[in-house]
Amino acid sequence: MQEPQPQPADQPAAGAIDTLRRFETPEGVEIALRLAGPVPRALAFAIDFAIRAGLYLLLLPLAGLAGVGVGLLLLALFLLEWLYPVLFELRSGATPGKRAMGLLVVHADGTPVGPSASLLRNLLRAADFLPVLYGLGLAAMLADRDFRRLGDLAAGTLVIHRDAPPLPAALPVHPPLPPPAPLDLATQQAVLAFAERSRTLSPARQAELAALAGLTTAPGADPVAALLGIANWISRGNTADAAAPLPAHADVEDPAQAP
Amino acid sequence: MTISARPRSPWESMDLGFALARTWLGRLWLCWWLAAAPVALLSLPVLHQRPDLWLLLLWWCKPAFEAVTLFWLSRAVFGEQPGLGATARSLPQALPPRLWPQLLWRRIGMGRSFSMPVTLLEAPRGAARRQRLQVLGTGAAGWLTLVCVHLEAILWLSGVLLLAFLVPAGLPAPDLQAAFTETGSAPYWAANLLVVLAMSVVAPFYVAAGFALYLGRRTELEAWDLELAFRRRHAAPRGPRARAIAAAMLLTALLLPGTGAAAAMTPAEAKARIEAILAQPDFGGTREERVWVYVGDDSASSADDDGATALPAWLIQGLATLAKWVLVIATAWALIVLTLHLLREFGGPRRRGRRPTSTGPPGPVAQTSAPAEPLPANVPAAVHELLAARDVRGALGLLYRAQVAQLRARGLELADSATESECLRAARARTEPQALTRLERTVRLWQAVAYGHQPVDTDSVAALTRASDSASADDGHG
Repeated sequence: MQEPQPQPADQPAAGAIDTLRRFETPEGVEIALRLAGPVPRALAFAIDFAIRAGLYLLLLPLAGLAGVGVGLLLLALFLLEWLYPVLFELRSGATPGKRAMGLLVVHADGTPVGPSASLLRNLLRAADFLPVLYGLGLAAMLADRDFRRLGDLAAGTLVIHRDAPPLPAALPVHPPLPPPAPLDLATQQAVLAFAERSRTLSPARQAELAALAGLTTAPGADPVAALLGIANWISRGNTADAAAPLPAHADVEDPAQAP
Repeated sequence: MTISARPRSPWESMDLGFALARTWLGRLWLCWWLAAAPVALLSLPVLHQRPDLWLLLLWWCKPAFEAVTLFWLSRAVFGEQPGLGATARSLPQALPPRLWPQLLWRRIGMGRSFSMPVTLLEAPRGAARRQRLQVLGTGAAGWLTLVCVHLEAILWLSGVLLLAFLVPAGLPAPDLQAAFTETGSAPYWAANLLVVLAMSVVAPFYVAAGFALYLGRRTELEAWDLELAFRRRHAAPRGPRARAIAAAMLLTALLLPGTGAAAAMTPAEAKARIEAILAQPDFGGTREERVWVYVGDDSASSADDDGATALPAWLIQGLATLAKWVLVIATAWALIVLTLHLLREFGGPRRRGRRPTSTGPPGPVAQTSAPAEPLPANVPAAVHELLAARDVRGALGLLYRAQVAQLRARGLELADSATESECLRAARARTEPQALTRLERTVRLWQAVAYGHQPVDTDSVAALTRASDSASADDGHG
């Protein structure tokens, strides 16, 4: 028997490869964390490194003083090297470099990172740095399915994309049209997404996609208009689903049916 | 379709590419070597004197190696995963002639990871290719190349240093300087091999990230994900036979091992097997617990302890006496407090009952429900007397009682404990409006005096009395 492809356990049933980690809150709300991979994280590190290098350059004149100056310089070096990330992560969840790249450090359950986790993941930079320039951390990141380096594994943290995906644009207003046949969930979502994104598509491409969808109600009708009409129809809460709606769902949507 | 297509930012597209490469790292790595190994081995006899040139050749040919990786990846993304042999057979397809420009004048360029999918998979030519790339735009492909070069360098340096660190202390230390400078030396060859290894490890991630960038760009510009969704919907109803076959295969795969095993076993065998499985340590077993058990007084050791921590006998005696008297006094005090409390509790109601009669005005309870005070025969006269004596409260109380008595006389069931509002509510149901308004006004005034302690002028009470006179006169007539 062939071994199935290694798939993350908490992926949706389709098993599609994705960088989302989904959690369901006790209220039944599903949240998805968008994991950040090595490329944005490496660039964020480079920005942070440049900032720290600039600070070191500013502090360099201290060395001109006698022993006290060197001592102060060493102290500043120690504090900057070890506490720079912790300070920023506790303040806003991200160092300036991470913020510039739109990244955020969170606990594995999506809550803001706390002092112990932040300290742990940053103290373990020493382990990630081995043998040179984060070689071990890079290897761990490439091998782990959540792109965690050793510090993240130990502290139970994730680095995710902070910036929210752009809100879906409002549907173009169109007289609602019921679809010619019941649609499954994926098609309903695709029709809605088509309506939301239709403004970013060229008219030719819109016509092409609409013809491909093949959801015209009457022969000779404009397929794009038909698709937009169906999207408006679905967005008003009409279920075009082939399967019967869940009873609980019906209760929520139609209070008149509730006893 | 093995990836979830949705609009993503370029950075997220790259992350998706890294996730793809991680999922199929072994296969993609082998695909890279499928093209790289022949080049590396065939060039060795010529270049065995010059490992630097050998490395340059391999580096220069990277687009060709990556083309094979991309070929396999582009099929795997759509659910078809050709084996190594099948990939080797389709090498001519994976390395078409239009790859040559990539290996010649387009070799130096930062956007290779992004332009390769366009060139190889879409295969536009000349001006069409240029225009297509212009439309798609390379986006963040340059950053990807920059980062991946550094990742390669880090992996290579880490490998070299790791090997150097892990050489045991007894052996001669590896010559790190030779590894970087002395062309042709053994350490140099080792370092070169590590470079190729690092290239081969990073290449799948680089190719997959570039491919994901390309897919992300097409999703953004052409709603490629929607096209897929619509096509899938279109295909699903048209292929009932394919679906049936797939479902049947799935079912057979699902059912065959189970039914076969069940048919081959008698209940006794099954029971034996169940018991064998239940006997495994996963299902229960032994548990070790540690508890303290009293084993008797060890007099020798306790004597030793006493000797070790002995206090002066007089001190112990004194402390014990002190503790005893503290306990006795505390007990006596507690007894006294308890007795006083009980006395107060039992004596309480009597004292509380006496206090209002002696200090305050008569309470409403005593007024309305006292059966000891009978109503005077002529209520209006009594009220006028009380008013003349400036006892408004007494007058109102008397009026109210008289009206309640009237209500009772008319057959209204009123409990002794009924409040004014309850009387009013009961009266509302049974009484004619005129008598009701009088009762209402009486109650309002009575409540204002008795509970609100508000001053009420005697005239309004006198008016009530007149109304009462007429009402009683009506009663008399009726």
